Amino acid sequence: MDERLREVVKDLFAMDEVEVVISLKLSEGCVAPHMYAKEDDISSMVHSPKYPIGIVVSMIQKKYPDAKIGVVVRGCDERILIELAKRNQVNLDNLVLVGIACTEEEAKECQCETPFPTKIDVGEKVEGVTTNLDIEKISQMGMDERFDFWMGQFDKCMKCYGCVYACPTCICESCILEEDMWVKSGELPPEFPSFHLIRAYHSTDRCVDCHECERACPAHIPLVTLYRLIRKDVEDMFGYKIGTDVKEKPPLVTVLEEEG
Amino acid sequence: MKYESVPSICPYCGCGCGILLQVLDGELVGVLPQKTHPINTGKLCIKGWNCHVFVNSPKRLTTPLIRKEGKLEPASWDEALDLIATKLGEVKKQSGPDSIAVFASAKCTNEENYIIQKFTRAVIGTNNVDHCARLCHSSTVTGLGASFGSGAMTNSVPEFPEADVILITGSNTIEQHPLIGSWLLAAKEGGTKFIVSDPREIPFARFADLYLQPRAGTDVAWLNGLMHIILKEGLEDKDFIRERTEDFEEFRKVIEKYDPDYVEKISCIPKEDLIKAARMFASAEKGSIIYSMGITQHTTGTDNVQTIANLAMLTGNVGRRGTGVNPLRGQNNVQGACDSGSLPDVFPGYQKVHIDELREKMEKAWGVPLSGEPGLTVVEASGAAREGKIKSFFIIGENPMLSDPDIQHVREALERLDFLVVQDIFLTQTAKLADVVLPAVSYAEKDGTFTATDRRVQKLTKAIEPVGEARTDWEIICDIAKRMGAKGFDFTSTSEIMDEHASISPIYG
Repeated sequence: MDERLREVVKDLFAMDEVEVVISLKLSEGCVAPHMYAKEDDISSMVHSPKYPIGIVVSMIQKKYPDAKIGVVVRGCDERILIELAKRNQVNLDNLVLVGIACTEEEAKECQCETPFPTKIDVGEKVEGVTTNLDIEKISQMGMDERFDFWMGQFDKCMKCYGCVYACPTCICESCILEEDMWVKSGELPPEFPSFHLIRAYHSTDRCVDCHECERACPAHIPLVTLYRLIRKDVEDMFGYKIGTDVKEKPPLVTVLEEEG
Repeated sequence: MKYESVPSICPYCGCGCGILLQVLDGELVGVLPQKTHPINTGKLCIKGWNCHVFVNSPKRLTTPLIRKEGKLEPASWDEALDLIATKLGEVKKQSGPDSIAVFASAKCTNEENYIIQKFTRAVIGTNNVDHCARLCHSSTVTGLGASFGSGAMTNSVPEFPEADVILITGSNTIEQHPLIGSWLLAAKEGGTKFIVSDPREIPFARFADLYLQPRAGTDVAWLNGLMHIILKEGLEDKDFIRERTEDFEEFRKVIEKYDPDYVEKISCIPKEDLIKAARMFASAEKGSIIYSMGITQHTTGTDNVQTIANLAMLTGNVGRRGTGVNPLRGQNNVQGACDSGSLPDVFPGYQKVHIDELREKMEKAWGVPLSGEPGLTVVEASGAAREGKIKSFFIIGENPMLSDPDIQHVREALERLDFLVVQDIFLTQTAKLADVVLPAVSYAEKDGTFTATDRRVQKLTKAIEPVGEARTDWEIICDIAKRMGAKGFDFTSTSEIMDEHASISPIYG
């Protein structure tokens, strides 16, 4: 798959469509986001393990708004870029996306409903996973059991803020979770329910199911499951599908405007 | 337009997490966790996620400073280094090499610590080199050195989930070593049983299968109490004791008096809990012990450490995966600073300065005669300065005015000195008292290696150019050594330094 990826990127450079390509680089056993220029050796370019590349793109575009940038994306990366574009954090017009379809194994690992981007350049499309075992398991619990389950999970929190830092669609310049009124500093675990529930509500119209938060969590809290459960309500109530149409306004923004 | 992620190692604690320094057009703009790193596997604690911030602080030192008419004024490198070389030469000539003391740093790389102790021993001519390990785990270095022959973790961090029972004492792991805490939570979820023994009800206590709350300072008693019960109930590992240990009968005699009633009286741990803990630990196929500064920072720290080693040996929990004695070291490179010889009684690789054969080997390697007299520790050096016996301090990457005990005492000591040099990245409380301040670079601006708490030697890669005129610690020290006429400091890279380090330290060879 990496060989095919390099061929596609090579063609992209050859057509002079982009100045640089943002992808992943393997060097000394370490994989990391990297910007390749046309003249660079791209034999180190790889596609796995995935990183929150949207954060990198947004950072670079803020400094170079006019640069033509190629970005290697999976399904979730594309959804991230769309959500960031809605919030004026990236400009899709200046991005050329190289799409990678996730493998069946990867799709299963993430229990991902859409494990592919709109346009696939590398890899074969596999069907999304529609049955979510974690959600089914929790849905079968009684209310008391469910409460105990989540309290037990939140109790492990070390307040690393990794879920905030790793989240490519967490974009606020000042974070409410750093305000003492909501989350007291110097206390472990964070007082229930503020930290995790505030974050969950904030993710309802922007979480694209990329799993970065959960993979960054040193306490192994099933954040993706929590966010999915809350997000499902927003999908049902507003008919809003995150990460699909850049013109579709997020309900947290529009509802607040209507009420305001 | 240039963006790259430079692999490096977090500069905070001994976990040794892999980070990626995000560099945009030569500017350090952020940090990401390395997903492929064996310790942190894509996770970080809050300090790690923010470890780029201080690098860009406007308060960084950018030029050398020299005290003129009572005030620290900017100066050129030549002026500052010549002044230091001259002054140190004078003090050495007038009051002898042992009137100078050097503090090395657990924040500096192995290569820098190697250079610092080589400079102290081969150029100044004294063994007065020590660092903050004195205040944290030097009792581990001594205690485990005596028990096992090596003062470090016996096992590696990712083995913790393989243990059946883990005893944690004197370590607030989730707050102090969060990413090791992450492995412990994984172990808990995988079925590992936990005994937490700590005077404070630390956050991890709520995950313990058994929580013991001893009175502070009664560690030897309650640990001996566990061993008493283990022996009484015949739960010890007889084969291991016969094949691998010494002086067991003498040990048994000491343990005899630590019956549960006696221990309960000393430690306030109910005897029922002691018995439960002893049975739980001894019945484990794989039992692991984790401890940290709650064990070492006592007047009986070395005894505490050796008692822990005894418990591991009594139950045969040494030398296998998922077992062992696991001191969690504090600073990012405190293990490496000790390994590299920044201690007053040992050359690199814990080779004792007073053993003639080892000293002769070092003299041959460095081409100068060396002192066989162990030097002063951090605390002793301050005391000696206060009494006027130490005339000059060279402090690198340490801030005794903040971190040492009895700051008033430290202030009196530093103010009495004839000549104080401080080399740091900030104008610390200590630097404010200096005659000369030298600006060093941060971890992001240099190459080298850090040794994590589980002895993992890991490489840093220079990600950005030095701030202002700052230079690496090793370059500064080599420069001063050469100005003092010394040979053997013509290094051009950290790799050359490590080659020399490895050639004389068996543990790095």
